[in-house]
Amino acid sequence: MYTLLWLKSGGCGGDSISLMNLDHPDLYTALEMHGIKVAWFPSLSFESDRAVHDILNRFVQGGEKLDFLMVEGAVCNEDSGKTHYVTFCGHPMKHWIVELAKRSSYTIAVGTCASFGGIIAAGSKNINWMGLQYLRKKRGGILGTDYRSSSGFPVINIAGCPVHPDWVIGTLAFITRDKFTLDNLDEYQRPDLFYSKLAHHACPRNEYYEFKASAEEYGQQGCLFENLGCKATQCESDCNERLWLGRTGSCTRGGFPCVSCTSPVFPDGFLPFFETQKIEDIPTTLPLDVPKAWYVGISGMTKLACPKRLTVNATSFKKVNVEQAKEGKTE
Amino acid sequence: MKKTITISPFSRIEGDLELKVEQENGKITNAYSSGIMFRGFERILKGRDPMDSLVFTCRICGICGLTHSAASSKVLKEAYKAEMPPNAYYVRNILLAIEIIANHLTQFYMFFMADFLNKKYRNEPNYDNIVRRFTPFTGESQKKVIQVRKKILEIMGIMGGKWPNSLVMQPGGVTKTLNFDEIVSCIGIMEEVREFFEKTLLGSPIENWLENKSLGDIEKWMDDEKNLESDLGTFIKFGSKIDLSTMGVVAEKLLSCGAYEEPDGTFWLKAGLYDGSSWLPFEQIKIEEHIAYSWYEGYAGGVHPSKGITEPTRQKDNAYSWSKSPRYDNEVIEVGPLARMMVDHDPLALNVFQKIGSNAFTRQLMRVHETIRLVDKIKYWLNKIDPEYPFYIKHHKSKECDGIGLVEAARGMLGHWASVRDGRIFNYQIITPTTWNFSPRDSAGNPGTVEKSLIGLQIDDSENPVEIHHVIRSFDPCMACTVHAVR
Repeated sequence: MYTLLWLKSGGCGGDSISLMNLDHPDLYTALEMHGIKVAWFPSLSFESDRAVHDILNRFVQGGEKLDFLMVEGAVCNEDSGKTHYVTFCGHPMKHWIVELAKRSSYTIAVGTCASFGGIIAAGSKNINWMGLQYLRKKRGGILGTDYRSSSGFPVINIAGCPVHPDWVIGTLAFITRDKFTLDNLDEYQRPDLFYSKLAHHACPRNEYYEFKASAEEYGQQGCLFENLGCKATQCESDCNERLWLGRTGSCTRGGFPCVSCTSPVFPDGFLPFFETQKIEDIPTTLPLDVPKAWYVGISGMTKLACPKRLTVNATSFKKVNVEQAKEGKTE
Repeated sequence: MKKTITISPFSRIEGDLELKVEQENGKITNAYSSGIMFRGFERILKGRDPMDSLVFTCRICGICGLTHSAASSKVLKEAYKAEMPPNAYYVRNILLAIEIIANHLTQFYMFFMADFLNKKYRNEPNYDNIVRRFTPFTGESQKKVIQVRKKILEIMGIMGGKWPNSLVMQPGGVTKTLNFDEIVSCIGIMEEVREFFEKTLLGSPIENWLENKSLGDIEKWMDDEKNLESDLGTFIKFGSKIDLSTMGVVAEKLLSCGAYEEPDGTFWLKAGLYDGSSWLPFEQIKIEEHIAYSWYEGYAGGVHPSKGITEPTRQKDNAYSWSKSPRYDNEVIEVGPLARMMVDHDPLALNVFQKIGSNAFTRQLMRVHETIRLVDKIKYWLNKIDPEYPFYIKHHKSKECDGIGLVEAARGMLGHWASVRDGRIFNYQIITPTTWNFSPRDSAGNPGTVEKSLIGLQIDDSENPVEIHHVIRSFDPCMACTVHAVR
């Protein structure tokens, strides 16, 4: 049996809500199946008030083994004082995280805020929001560069805004089945099982992408990369293969651009969100690892080779068939 | 005997709430509600591209983020003078309804009902049944609701791509273009959802419930064994047994900005103010925010959100919350499903309110009633979508403009106010529903709605003040939303 404690720091609660959307199987079945006992989970647990203080103190004092310390939301680097930006059980949240992280076998940052500072740390001026072991790409964070949980792991960053529920439960299952090693963490300490692909993979607009048949405005069928700000070719996630909400959708399937929310530099590394910045018609947000000269060469060729079927549909909100297009019956 | 109790943290709510109550001989004489987390979204937004607000504001709240999307896209629609095609109105209404249904089901089953497991009720005749159904993680009904919640969110996936944090709502409509097949799938999903409502939440067809126009009708509805044994029947029976209607009693004015806009500009659920006897038009200009007891500095009295000047300060005598105090025409206001139903002249709400007023029981009942009305209504919007026509119209951007976005969220009225200068956000101000209900005292010293609703509450055991938990959760607090607010 593994014991799990979930804390909500500076965040919106969206990762908890997303976790409740787990399918294959549902959350309750999954916890049982992986032998995970929830000591406290803010949105679902019965206990409030002093019962929660008691649970925390049992872990801090070592009276109960803590296998998984899960933290959602960015943490404010503040000490005990009169008023805190985030108060939890009488102390700044930082206090509890530091104390509990000394006891946990695995310390897991859930979501981009807890991992890298995320939305909350964007423009927060003189308030020191940070992730557990990072602020953006810089190591350190609340727990410090050298932090290791008792299993020898640094903080495991399950990034995403929100996280996909599979990424959370999948990581836990990976650990409970003894399959997880340090080699499974990527350079930002994200489990490579989920973050070694691109959100672009399996996007249904991929044929449009290949031929640079691009949508010019929202609601059209073409690729969102060239004009409408899509960052899916830079975003390290498996969103379009895995799909969300009962495998029914994804950002690009919903017709809006990927904002690369699993990245340490989300959100400000991906501005503007809804249009593509270009220098002389070449997007500045080139796909991951693709050199500019190659991009220019290939995209020029593919545009020339683009079938009419795609050029017509790229800027149409509904499917137009080629015969109609040929006869000039398009809208 | 006088005694002060402080309760924190509360599980099964969104965000962090600390509550301090003073009591004398078991009766609460004073209450202080504190938002104890600060995030500062309005500060984050200042100076940004106005379109960024679509990405940022939905991330204020994980449970009602889409309503923030609706509000911020409405702000930009007004500011940029954008137009939306009819299909976009229907899709927006469906998505907002799905988010509210998912919220209300989560609130009813996972947040509220678990308090009936409290040890105080151990000897109640129906206690074993409550334990069997509503124990967190393992209860029979909990297991069913986590399934149906996922099922209904599949419509969110089909129409909104993902959730939380869909960006499908834009000033010119919605980014997702639906085809006929997808619409049929959504209609089919609603049929499966309906089955949960009719077999688990209720014991008979939705239509039977919707025929109830009074408490008397509900009593008759409960005469059917299946209804009586249903989850809603169990709530009504148990809630009545423990006198839930005597808890969280409040007599404030009820406000709604109107919900589910149709292409002709009308609302399915009307806007207005119910002052206890009559209905008055809603005028957003009457909204002001106070900071007398909040950890902010910079002004005295009330200020309209379009002109909100606020700076956080951690050193302020008398202050006890990161939440501000919104008032309407200087009055304390209750918002939420009850307010929406009352302002809409819903016959069942009118009768229940006239008979027993606003309290924990009424609020819960109206939340469930609204959920049932929404499940019934979604099919209408689904059938209105015509995939032969567009879902989005391109718009231009202005460098100097202002916009207001008012939307009814699960917990009540949500407002965004923005001004754009030289193409950047100059000021962005947000008032969330929970800020209305959980506000601290205003400049005149008037307690907020929840604070008032706790005064007079009888607590049987100050070591186990379950009555307070019923009251707090009946307002469905979302403190994550409430403490966003600093420019």
